[in-house]
Amino acid sequence: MANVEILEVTKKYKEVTAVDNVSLNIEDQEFLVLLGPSGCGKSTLLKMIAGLEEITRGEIYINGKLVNYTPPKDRDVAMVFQNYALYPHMTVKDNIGFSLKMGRVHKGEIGKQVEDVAKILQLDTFLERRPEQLSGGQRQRVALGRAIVRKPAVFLMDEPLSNLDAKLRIQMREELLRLHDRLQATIIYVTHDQIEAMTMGSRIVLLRDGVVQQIGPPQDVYDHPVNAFVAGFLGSPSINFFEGQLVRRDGTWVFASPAMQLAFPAEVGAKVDAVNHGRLGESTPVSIGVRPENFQVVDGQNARMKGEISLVEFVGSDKYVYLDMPSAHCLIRTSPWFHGKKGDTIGLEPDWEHFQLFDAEGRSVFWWNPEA
Amino acid sequence: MSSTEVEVRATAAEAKRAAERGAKSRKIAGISVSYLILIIGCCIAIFPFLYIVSLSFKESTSLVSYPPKWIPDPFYFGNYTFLLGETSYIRWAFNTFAFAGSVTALKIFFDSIAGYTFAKMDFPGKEILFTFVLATLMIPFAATLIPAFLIVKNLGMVNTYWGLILPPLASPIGIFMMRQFIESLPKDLENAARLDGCSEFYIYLRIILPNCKPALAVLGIFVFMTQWTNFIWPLVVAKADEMRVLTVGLASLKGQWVTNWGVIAAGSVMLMIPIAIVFIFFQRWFIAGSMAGALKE
Ligand SMILES: Nc1ncnc2c1ncn2[C@@H]1O[C@H](COP(=O)(O)OP(=O)(O)OP(=O)(O)O)[C@@H](O)[C@H]1O
Ligand SMILES: [Mg+2]
Repeated sequence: MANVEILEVTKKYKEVTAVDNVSLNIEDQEFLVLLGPSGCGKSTLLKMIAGLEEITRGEIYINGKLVNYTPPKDRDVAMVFQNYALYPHMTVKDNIGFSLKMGRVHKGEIGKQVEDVAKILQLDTFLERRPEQLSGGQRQRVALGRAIVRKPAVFLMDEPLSNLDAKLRIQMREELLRLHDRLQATIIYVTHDQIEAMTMGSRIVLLRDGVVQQIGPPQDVYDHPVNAFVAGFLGSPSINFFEGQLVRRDGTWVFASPAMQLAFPAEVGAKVDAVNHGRLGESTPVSIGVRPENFQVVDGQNARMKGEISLVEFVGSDKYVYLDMPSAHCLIRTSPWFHGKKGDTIGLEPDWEHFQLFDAEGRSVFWWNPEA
Repeated sequence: MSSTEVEVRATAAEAKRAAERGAKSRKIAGISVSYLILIIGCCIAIFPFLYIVSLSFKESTSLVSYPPKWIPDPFYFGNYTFLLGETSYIRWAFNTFAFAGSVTALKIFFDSIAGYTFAKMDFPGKEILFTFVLATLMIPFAATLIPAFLIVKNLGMVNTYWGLILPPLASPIGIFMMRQFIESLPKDLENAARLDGCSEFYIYLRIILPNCKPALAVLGIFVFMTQWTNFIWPLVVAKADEMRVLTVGLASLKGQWVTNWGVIAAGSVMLMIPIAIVFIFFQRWFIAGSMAGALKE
């Protein structure tokens, strides 16, 4: 029902630039996830779309219409606030029904709609309570209900599931996706939770210090991060970085560091050559990134990467193995049947398919596109 | 285990228990002392009040008896019947209610809406205007008394309710207080209401005001008490007998040569009752108003 277009939007609070020249095109019925560390401007961006914060520079269009000067209530957007912002003096029922009341909906109709929403959110038994009498998770669901009941064209959700326990969160995740289908609304969703971002978003936007780092479908962003920040932010446990130099030896590229001398296989070397354009010369400082799941454990004797196990964590479906290497640390994910123990030395081989190479500025050698 | 060993252990346990007992009795002693101080303070505070109550039930001839009698004997109701029957006490009480009540209601409205504006809205010159409002706090009441009277007189409002009510509204302290309180309310509360379709005035009325109850209660009590006992301004502006307020009316009962203190005491007792009632009424709001549950902790 509505697409949202954000054009070179900037928000400045005196010295702080909270959002810096962000351009996004959110399609109708898209589920877009905003992801980024604390203070990167996610909430600020949402509030500008809602019309609650003035835009310093740039334009926002909802459904093709410039809304820079449209008051919040006429934008057909609803927001779930990061801190809930429930009305403390009203019951759950009145909290959820307040917008309908303001919209002069008939009283009986309000009651019916509030009950429908309460049922979806499992709040039906709390309708007469005040926010102070609810748990954190229940409050969060009321905040969600307040947005859902309005059936807006665009939902802005600021970490709406952060306070729920694991089970309820999974349940609500499903419920939200179903709701998204049912309401056919556009959803812009802020989260810290990577699993949420990966599972729910049709596209992820990664922000850092108010600047967009990368936009794309979850798997694209995960597999092809444009820089070390994105690579490090996505994935849990996070990717392993090794610092070193790129040198040319016997006609192949070799990654040289105290921890390892890693000669690239021919096809990876060819890839480096293809994208190089003179960026990488002899002895260029670079870093490589390998995700914990992208290691093969090999025989320790003549492996090119070797490490001594310092800790083994059993987490159910996997084992996390912490390794000490000369001037580096590394975490790998193995099957629960891995039987190495503390003090053992094991050898590793990176999975070259998922191998990442970053230049000195942290940009991905393979995936950075200066035009993007 | 030898018997001496047992004894040693027993004494050790006893010493420990004794020490515990000591700590406990010290604690009790501490509490007792603080209670004693509070009780003495209470007595000092309540003494003049009881004295007035006692006076109000005595006939003027037995006022100064020696030794002083605390319990009037006989109980004499003449002071009260005189006040209610022979003076305009009832009219004065009505005037005082109308005066203090209107000032309180209007001040709660104006101060909260001005406080909201200063706390949450942006407009050019806001800081300067607010400084200006606060600066009027520094002008002593005595300096504005005569100019205020002249203005009221020129407007033809001497001996009218408007003349009584309007000038006290101009005090800025309530605006300051409300601004401080409203500023502490989370911004997302208004934001949520704004998205829910509230106009700015509705946000004030439906969201801000109900969450200001503790501050409104303090302001209400403060303004009502001040105006209920206000003397100088009503004395200046409302001299006609039917426009007098209680404080001025009671003072007028003081004769030039003879003063019936029993009657004045009775008037004072009746003067105090409504304040107590107002206090009790607003007090519930102190407790009821709380932001609990609005935000994520
Ligand atoms: N009213 C304000 N005045 C000044 N600076 C502000 C204001 N609101 C936000 N900021 C700043 O703008 C930046 C972005 O804030 P924002 O709340 O958008 O972050 P966020 O990405 O939502 O973080 P979090 O994940 O912690 O919620 C921060 O550096 C913050 O300090
Ligand atoms: Mg935020």
